[in-house]
Amino acid sequence: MSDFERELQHALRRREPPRDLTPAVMARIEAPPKREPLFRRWFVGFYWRQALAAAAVALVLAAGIDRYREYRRGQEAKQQLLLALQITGQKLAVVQAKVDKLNRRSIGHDQ
Amino acid sequence: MKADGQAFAALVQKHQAMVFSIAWNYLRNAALAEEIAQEAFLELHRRLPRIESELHATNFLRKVAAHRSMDEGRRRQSQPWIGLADVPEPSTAPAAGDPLLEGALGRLIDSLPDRPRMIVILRYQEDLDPPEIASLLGIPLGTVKSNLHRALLVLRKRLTRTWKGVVQ
Repeated sequence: MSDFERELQHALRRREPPRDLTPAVMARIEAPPKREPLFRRWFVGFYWRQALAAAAVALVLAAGIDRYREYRRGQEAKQQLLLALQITGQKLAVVQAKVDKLNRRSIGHDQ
Repeated sequence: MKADGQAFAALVQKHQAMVFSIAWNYLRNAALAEEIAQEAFLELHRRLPRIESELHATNFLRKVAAHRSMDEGRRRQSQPWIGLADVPEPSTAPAAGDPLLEGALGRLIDSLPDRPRMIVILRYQEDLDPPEIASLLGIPLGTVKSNLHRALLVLRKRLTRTWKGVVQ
């Protein structure tokens, strides 16, 4: 051990407390436990941090579920629109075919 | 471990300097150190049925005092205040040592970060080995060794600036 370490050991040596702690410790051990008011016990004992974390998680989940539902509704509306456009397209194709047929017939009749 | 009132009082008497000094060397506040020491003994009394031997009790007290002191230090986060009445009497007669150097060392130890400060206290006050300190603080052995090494380097360097020739 170097001189420096010896100086450290000396500076950090054990010290007696200014007064004997024994009477105070023994008195606290023998004293009946204090009954805190019910509300205070509940307030102090309640796991505030965990409760806040759980509330935050629930809020994020609820917001997520809401967003997902909105997204699903949008997707369904999109599918319906595509189907409607597809049906309209098919109908238009049939009408177009009929118009073409009529046109061809009228041209033949004129000649 | 079983201890009636008298036996427990003897245990308090025997270990109070150790528990008080861990807190005092860390916080440099006698009132807080006393409170932490009392809390440590009350905690020991609550856990007494699970304490197997006196050695176990000693280690338990060291552990509670170290952790409570660090918690209190974090809570306060202020510079330690040392009043004249706060300076306790050493439990052993002071060895030959310069009181000015001792004061300077005390201030330098106070300036160390939380964990290295407690490691230095446990190493030089309690004479614990790094593996014992690691187990007591619940941190890896490598962390204890590196913290201790760095803390000693810093202390030596800072002290050398003002106390050239004394620090070897």
